[in-house]
Amino acid sequence: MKHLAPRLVAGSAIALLAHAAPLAAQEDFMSADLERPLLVEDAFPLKFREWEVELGLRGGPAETGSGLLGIAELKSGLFLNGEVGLEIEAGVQDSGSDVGGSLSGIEAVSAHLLYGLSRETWGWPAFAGRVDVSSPGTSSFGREDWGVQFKGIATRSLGRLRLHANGGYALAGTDDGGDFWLVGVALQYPIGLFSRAILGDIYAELPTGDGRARVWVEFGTRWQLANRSVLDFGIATRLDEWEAGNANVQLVIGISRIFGIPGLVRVSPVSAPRIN
Amino acid sequence: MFSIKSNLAWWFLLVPAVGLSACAVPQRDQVYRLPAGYNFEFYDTYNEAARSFYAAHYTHFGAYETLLDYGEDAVEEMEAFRQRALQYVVNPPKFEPPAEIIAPNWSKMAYETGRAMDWTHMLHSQLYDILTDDRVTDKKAAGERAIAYYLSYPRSAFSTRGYGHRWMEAGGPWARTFRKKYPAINGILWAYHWHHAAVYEALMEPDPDRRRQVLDRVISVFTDSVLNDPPRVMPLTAEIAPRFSRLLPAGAQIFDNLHMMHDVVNDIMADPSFTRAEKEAEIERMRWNMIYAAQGAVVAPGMPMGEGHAMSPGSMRVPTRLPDGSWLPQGHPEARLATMQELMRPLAEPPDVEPTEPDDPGQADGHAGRER
Repeated sequence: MKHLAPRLVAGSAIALLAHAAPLAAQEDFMSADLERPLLVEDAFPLKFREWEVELGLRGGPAETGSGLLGIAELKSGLFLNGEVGLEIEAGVQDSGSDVGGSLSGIEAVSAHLLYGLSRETWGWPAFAGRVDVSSPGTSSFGREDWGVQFKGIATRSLGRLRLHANGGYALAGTDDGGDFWLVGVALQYPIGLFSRAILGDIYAELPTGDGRARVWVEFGTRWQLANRSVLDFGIATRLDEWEAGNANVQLVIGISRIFGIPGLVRVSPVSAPRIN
Repeated sequence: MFSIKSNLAWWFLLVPAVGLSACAVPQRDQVYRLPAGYNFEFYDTYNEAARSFYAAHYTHFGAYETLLDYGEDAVEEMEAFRQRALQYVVNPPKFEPPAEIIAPNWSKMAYETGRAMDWTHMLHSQLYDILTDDRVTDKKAAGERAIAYYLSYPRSAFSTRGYGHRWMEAGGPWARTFRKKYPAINGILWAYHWHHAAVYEALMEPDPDRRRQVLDRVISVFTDSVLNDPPRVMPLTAEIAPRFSRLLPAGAQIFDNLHMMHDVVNDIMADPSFTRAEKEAEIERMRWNMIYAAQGAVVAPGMPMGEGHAMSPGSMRVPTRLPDGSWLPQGHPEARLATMQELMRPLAEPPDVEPTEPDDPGQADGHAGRER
């Protein structure tokens, strides 16, 4: 179990790459989707009628035992400038000792609504708002109680560089650590016209009650593998857990694929559009 | 269950939502392509041909960005940009580069025009897909459905009317500025307009083997000849692709209007008499003149025939209705040849008048140039 997480991450990466190679999107690599691979996201919802499935893994060794979290998400541009999504997180956590065994189960099932409030203009960034609702998980591995999170998102471009700022408030039961404020900033830059982008962020959760702040620093990349598929890869660390020279470092890898559903689109015929 | 300690959280959504909505702020309003089994078939089947267009997209949006960032008379920067564009002709990107990457500042300034261009590039792509995919047996029906979906967002769709060269030659005082200042880059862009249409015509070949041969020939002719000796006027789709234009006449004219809007934006961006804010407003004014939503109300200007104005011989062939009710678009070699006097008059047909059935197919149009 001790080396399970790194092996699973490496294995999954190889499997995803091998599967994705023959596939053929073009702009999706510039979408800074939540957890793909950063915890800070951009203010751009999916296009109307666009669907996306995302699969990801986050894991690595830690002082308290290695862990691996798998994430599967289905989301849809259900209305103009609006996106809804359903996400399930499941994982396994090693106790870190030879006799402690491991915990596994569903961390949470979550649903979200992301709405683009405005596009970027010459003088203003793009703004969006997001609400997440998370259910309790299973066994002692998952969440203990329901949670709700509200977030405001801003995205500003300076030339090709994009800056993202997230700020919000999360309502959580005391068994899940209580309410907290969240704040984060991210940078994103495309590499030439190669349909690849590099990203980095710093993200913090600040408990309103007792407890110390949780701070992540992350760096990653998104590669357009095919016309509808993107691979993301990142490395993350919890700064607040850097103690005695030991860092809690995690690897993040995932793949996203966009698609449309023909049966859901009704096209009204245009009889002989005027051409003269 | 958690307890709600503070109402502050709600304000994260409610305040900006209500505030921004009250201000009627601009939105991204992006829509996904029509879902269909043929999507990306052209890219997957004729990858070299599909990728050959990406340098055109780079050249269009890159010219806007260079003129915005370095000024209207940035000769050195534009030459360096031209060299980069030619490199992409030889070695194109693997995937179509998004306009917001090529022209991030211009995209903030003229977002709605960039979105309309992207939306029309999507239609371009889908019609290539339909013509490529041999599983699609009724090309006309599939093409008309794709066009209907495209037109269902009328503020992002370009007009289906045959404006020819009218808006780019007579839309404003900026007309022809870009081609005079930067003829080499303009030549690349007009060569690509030829290329887009020639690929349609190649894809009209019913036999897959023959289709690939013709397509390879089009790419060779483009790189060997057309790019080195570009068209002297902006080609119209029907001149280069008569079979495609007869199949989908509205599509042909949508693409001509897209190409004309690309030229219009080039001219406005290269005109130093406009400030940045005035360019933003002028581009938006021209977009409103040329979109589908406004085509029933706008009156296109006539073609000025003075010095510096140029149009291809086919431009004098105006949209023509055939006895079976089908149409030949602007520039089609079999369409009616309009008189110079007609071309010089505004397109002034009242929007609620339906075209009449012609008695003489040779005079089937009967509307272009009619005055109110």
